[in-house]
Amino acid sequence: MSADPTRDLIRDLASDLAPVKPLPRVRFVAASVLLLWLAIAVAGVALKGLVPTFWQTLAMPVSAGGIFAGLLVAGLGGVLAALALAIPGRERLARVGFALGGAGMTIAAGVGIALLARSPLVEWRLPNVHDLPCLMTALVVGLVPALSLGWFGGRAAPFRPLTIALAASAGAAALGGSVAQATCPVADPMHLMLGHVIVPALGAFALTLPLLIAIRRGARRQRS
Amino acid sequence: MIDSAERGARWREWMASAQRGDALAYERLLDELLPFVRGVVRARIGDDPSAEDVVQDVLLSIHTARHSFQPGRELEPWVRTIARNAVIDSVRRRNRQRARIADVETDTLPQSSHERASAEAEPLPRRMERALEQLPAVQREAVLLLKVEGLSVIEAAQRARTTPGALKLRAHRGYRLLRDLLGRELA
Repeated sequence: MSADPTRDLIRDLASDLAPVKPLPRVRFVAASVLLLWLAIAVAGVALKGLVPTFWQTLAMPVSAGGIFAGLLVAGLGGVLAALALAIPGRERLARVGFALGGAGMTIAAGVGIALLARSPLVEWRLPNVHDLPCLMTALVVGLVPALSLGWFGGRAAPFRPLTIALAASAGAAALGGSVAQATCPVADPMHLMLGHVIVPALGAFALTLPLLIAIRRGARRQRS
Repeated sequence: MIDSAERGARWREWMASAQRGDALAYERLLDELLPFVRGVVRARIGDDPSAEDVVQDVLLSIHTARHSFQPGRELEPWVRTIARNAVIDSVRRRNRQRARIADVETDTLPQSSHERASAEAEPLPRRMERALEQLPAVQREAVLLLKVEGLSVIEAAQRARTTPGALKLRAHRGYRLLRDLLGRELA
């Protein structure tokens, strides 16, 4: 023991230091999560069929295509933010992710509101059984990316696990929502809002707690 | 500027070696990081008497998060983020510990001058035993295995079914809480 306990601690930490495997790069993990999502999305589209007007609507900003694009951007942003937040020193990338996520949600909600405003007959209502299949599709498609992000979050250095869980669940659900949007033939603007645009908020509500638990458990296992 | 670039390259290289298990490179790195970490901590909490304890918490956080450094990237932002978060966590943990110690004091410590005098007269082993009882179970186990049973870190880690690194962290936190508890009792 020396007179300086901090130097003692340094020596103590360095003695019998165990080798560790560095985390993979963010771009590699992001590509893996997105490939996983893409595989599930392709299977979902093959199962349910793409909306016949899908490619035409993509060229029209204020249409279902706009909501699809918004959800996709929001999903990419959420994934990026969750991954970057789990790695110390990548805050700038996390801010880019949050900005993308916010922009995507603004686009999706803006298009949804514009479609509602254009519609002559709008029946205001809460989500109901007609919205349920799309909400379920979105959550099921988003579940695997969300779990992968949770696994990575637990393996990394999650100083802010709640924020990671929120970004991951909202982002993964948004990716799922884009698949629901691409396969849903319903054009009713109220359904587009309550069955598709609302998905990231619903995902954040439903998946944040399980992801938070998974991240905390993973981090505890990593420390011990 | 060149110095800073050279220093950055050296730190990156040492950290990459530390991730491969090179203890010497790791010790050098932590030694060189120490003034930087002290600077970050002092900028956050000033010259608080607990600053050096927080510096030690930051070093422990760097140790547990060392796998999250991606070779090739700058080390300084990585350390700065860990330090910032560790300072916040450390201050929160310290406040919780203080509250717990205050609870223990109200429940168990002597209140009158007569009781205090008899506590001072109480032999140290008894006071130590009482303080040990207040530690979280995993920290108490680590302290007992290392300091009472005299096991090596590796043996103690095997007994506690954990890694040597995790055992050291538990013991270190246990020592600090013990010191706080005994210090309060004697104050």
